Amino acid sequence: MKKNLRFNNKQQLFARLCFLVALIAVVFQNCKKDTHVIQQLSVTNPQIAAAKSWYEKTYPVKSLGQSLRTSSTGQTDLSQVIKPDWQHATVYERFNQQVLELPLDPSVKFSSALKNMTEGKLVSNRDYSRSWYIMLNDGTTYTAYVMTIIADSSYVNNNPDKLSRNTYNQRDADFSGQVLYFTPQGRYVSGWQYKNGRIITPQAKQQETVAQNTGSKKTASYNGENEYCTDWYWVTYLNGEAIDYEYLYTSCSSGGYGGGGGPQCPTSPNTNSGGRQAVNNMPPPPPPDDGGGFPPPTGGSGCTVTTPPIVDTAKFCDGVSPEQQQAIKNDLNTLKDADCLSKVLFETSASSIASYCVNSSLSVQAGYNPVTKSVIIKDPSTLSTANLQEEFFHAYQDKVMPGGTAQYLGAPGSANIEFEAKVIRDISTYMGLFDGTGSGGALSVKDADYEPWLADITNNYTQYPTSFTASQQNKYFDLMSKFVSENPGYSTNLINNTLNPTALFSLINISPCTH
Amino acid sequence: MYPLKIDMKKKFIILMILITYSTISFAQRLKPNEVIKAKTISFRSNQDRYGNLIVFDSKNDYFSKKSKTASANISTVKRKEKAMLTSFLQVFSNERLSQLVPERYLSMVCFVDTSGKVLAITFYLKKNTLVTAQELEELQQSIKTNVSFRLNPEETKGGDFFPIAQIVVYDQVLKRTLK
Repeated sequence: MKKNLRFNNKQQLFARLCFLVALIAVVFQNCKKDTHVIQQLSVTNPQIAAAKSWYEKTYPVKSLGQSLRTSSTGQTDLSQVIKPDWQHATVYERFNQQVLELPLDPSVKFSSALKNMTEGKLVSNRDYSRSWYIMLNDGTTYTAYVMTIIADSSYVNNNPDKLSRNTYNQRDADFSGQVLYFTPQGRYVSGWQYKNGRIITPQAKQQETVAQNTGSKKTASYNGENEYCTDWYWVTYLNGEAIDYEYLYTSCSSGGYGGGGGPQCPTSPNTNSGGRQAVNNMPPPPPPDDGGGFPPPTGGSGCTVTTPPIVDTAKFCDGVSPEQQQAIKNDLNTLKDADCLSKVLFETSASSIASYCVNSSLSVQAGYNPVTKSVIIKDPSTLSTANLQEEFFHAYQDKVMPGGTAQYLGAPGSANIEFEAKVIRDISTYMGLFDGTGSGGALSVKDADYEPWLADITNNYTQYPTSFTASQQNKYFDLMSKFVSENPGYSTNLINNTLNPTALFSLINISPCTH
Repeated sequence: MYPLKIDMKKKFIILMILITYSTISFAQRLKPNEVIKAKTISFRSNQDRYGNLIVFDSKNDYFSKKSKTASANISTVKRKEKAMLTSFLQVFSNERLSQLVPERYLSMVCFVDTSGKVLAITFYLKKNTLVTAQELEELQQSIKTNVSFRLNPEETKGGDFFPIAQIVVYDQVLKRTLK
C-alpha cells in the first residue's frame, strides 16, 4: 500500500510545477488588488481624448494679456503656468476609479519646495520635488489634481532619479518626504508625510495638546506655554523663479517637518499666523492603502475645517459705522489681492491686528498703535491701499522686532520705524513702475542721492533687498537723517543709529516676491 | 599740381566739416559736473557715487528748497494714462529708442504742485548714456505739457511741491506698452 501512495518522478515534477503556477497566481493576485492593467495610451485614444476635452473645458487657457492670477484669491493660477503632457498618459484603475496619470508638459521647468514661513527658511531642495497630474474618473465625473512629492535629502541621497520611482500607485519602499495634492489651479487639497516608507501619524500626546488648545489661535511664535507653532507653505518655481506660495498647514509643539511627530490634525478651526482661512489641512492617517502607492487625495480625512476669511472676522472699535466697516473690509480685500508684497503683508500681519478704529481728527490718513495693536483710519472712504499696506507693515514690525515697537514711541528708534516703512513703500513704488503696474508715488526723501541708493539696494529695481552692504547701510542712516529733516514731526534725536531695518529684510526673506 | 591742390582743399573742407560735426555732437553728450547748454536751457549735471548722472535744469532748485508739508505722507499718485508714452514718442523715434533699449530705463523725479502739475524734473541717467542734452530739453518740455498727476487733496493740504518717482523703461515705449 505504501508503495502505491508514492509518486513517481514525473508525478513529483508535475506537482511541483502546479505548486509554482499556483504560487505565481497568488502573488500576482495579491499585487493586483485595486491596481488593474496599466496602459500607456496615445492622445487619440477615446479615454484620453475625453479627459483632455474635460480638462481643457474646465481649466481653459486664458488669452495673452489676461492675468495669471485668480481673481478670487490673488494667487497664481497654476493651470495657466503648467499643463499636462497628453502624449504620455498612463491609464489604470485604482480604488474603483479610472486613473489617468500625466507628466507635466516639459515646455516649462516647474519645481517646488517646502518653506517654513515662521523662520523664512526653505526646508527642502526644489530639485528634489516632482509634480504630475492625476485625473480620477468614477464613471460619471472627472477630478483633476496636481500631485507633488517633496523628498527628504536623506531619501534622495544625491540620486534625484529616485523621485521617478514614486507614482500615484507605486511608492518606493524607503520613501521619506511629503506627498501633496493640489487642485490644478494650485490650491492645497491634502497631504501626508512619510519617513522610511511609512506615514507619520500624530502621536496621542500631540493630539492631546491640540485638543487642549481647541479654539486657540495658532501664531508663528510661542503660543502659550511650551507651544511653538510653525506655518508651512508650498513655494512654486517656474524656470527657477518663485512664482507663488500656498499655505499648507501649521504644526505646533513637537510636531512639524522633521520634528518626529509629523503634521497634526486639529479638532477645531484654527487660523495660521497669517489668519488664512486654511487650517491644519494635514488629514489623519488615511485608510490602509494598496501597499504600493500613495493615499488618494480625498476620502475620509474629514480634517479640513473651514473658518471664515480673516476679512469677515475683522474687529472694529465702538463707533465705527456699518458703512465704514464695509469700506475697511473692501480696503482689506484690495490689499489681500494687491501686489506680491502686499499679499505677504496681509498673510503675516492680518491676524495680529486687534481692531480697526476710525478717528476723523487724525493728522495723517492712517496709523498703527503698537500698544492696542489697532489700525486707526482717518476716513475709510478715502483710505488708499498704500496707506493700509504701510500700517500692515508697522504691525509686522511690531510682531517681529524684539520687544515690539511700543518701546520706541516718542523715543529714539521711532524715526527708524517710520523710515523703514517708507523705504519699503518707495521700493514698491519703483518696482511697480518698472513692471508697468504702477503710476508712481511721492518719494519720502527728496534728496538727490535717494533714487541712486534705491536703485543700488534693489539692483536697479530687479530684486528686493535682503541685506545691505556696509556702504548701503551708512547711506541708509544718512538718508534717514534727511528724511527726518524734511518731514515735520520728526527730529534727529528720534533716530537710533543701531536699529537696522530688520523687519524689512525679514519680510522679504519670508516672501517669494522677487520683483 | 593744380588738380592736386583742389584735392587737398576738398579734403581739408571735409575734415573741417567732420570736426565741426563731431564737436557739436560731443557738446550734446552729457558729462558729469558740467553746465550743458541745450537749445534754450542749460542743464547742470552731477555724478552719484556709482558714476551715474543726475541731470537737471540749472534753474531747478527743488532739491535744496524746503517743502511746507511732508511728502512722505502722500500715499497715492495717479498719472494721466498714456501721457508719459506720448511724451517720449514726441522726442524719440523708434530707431533712437532701439539704441536706448540697452540702457533699460530712464529714472526721474518730477516735482509737482498740489494740483499735480509738473514744475521741474530731475533725470537720472546711466553713465555714458546716449541721451543728449537737446533730447532732455525736449523731453522735459513734452512731459511738462502732457503729463500731470492726481494727488489726494487731503494729503497735499497746505503743501507746495512734492517729489514724484517715475521710471520709464525704453522697451515699453518702443513696444507702446507703457501705460
